[in-house]
Amino acid sequence: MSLLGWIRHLFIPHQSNNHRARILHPSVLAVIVAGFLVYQFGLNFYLLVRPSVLGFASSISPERVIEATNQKRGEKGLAPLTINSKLNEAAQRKAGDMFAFDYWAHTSPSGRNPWAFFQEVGYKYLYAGENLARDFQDSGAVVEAWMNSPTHRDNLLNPNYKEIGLAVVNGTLNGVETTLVVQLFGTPTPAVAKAPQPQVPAFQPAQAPQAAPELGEASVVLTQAEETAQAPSPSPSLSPFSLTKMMVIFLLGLILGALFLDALLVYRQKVVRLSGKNLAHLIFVGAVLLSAILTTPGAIL
Amino acid sequence: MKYLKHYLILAAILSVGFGLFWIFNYNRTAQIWITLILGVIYVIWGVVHHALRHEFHWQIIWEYLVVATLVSLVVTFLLIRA
Repeated sequence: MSLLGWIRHLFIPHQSNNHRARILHPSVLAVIVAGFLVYQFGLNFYLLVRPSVLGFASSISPERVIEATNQKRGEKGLAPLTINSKLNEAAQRKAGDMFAFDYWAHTSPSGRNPWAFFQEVGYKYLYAGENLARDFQDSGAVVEAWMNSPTHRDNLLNPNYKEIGLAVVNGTLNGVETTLVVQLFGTPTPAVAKAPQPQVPAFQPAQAPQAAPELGEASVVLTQAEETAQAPSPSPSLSPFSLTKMMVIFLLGLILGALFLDALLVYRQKVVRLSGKNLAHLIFVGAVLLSAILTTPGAIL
Repeated sequence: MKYLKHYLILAAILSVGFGLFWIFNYNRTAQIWITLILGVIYVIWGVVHHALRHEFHWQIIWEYLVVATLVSLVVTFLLIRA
């Protein structure tokens, strides 16, 4: 079969394909499913053998995140949070710890909770909280994502918090270049509150008991944070997300096009056949394709 | 169209799903669940639609199953990567 004949067999309803575009036959769709899985496992394998080649480029500025946070608080009539250098340092340590121990969670695999970092830097608090984000494209998107999540919004708009610390750190997480945003909130105990606070960036809170600090790899963590904190994003052009999104849009677009062509030709030729309804498939695949196109990278915790 | 009501119901279900998908933006777990549930609903819609048209054949149901699996799978992987 010539290339042209093969393409016709694949996309044009004809006797050769039982009057149904071959690409829409369940057996071919099943092959596409298998191919997509192979592609994904191949991507995972590539990340394993060539870590840091793929990653996410962002332009998040700590100042703008804090500014946007205070703007959201201002809209609700809440006092702005002031930047606290100790909270900034705790945020840096937390981000460094996440990269050093390769985890995406509030509590590290070793059991260190967020409050351990507050205590490591000597920040004694009445109230404290933490918001995390990764892989967002810009500062505004981070704050909007937190505002869209009830638990993160409660943190961000909590009137008990007085101070903030923030860290935006680039590093490798699960083999992928990642931009982490750690936002810590705190309200110092009265004794601490009397002490003058240097004006440095801060982070965001969550209710937490004054747990005993768990000191461990603090020095290692600090080193990692220092190395990465000030570095601009390495700006890799491709990330696993973008590669997957391109493939998803290509596949769904291909199927959508084949469905449309098949429906049109069958309608014109008035072919009667036994198959699923193209209109239903078009609505379903079209809705999902739109969702995939609108999906942007980024996760919050 | 004789079965217009069926298609309107499908469009309404998918619109609600799309809306929920948007509302739960960045809540990847919720979005994955929404995608998988929509895939299951789509297969059920196909079964009911073809049964009411007296066209129930396993070959057709298999087609709906494969389409729903393909679509749900690719979006789930996309959300995991996001």
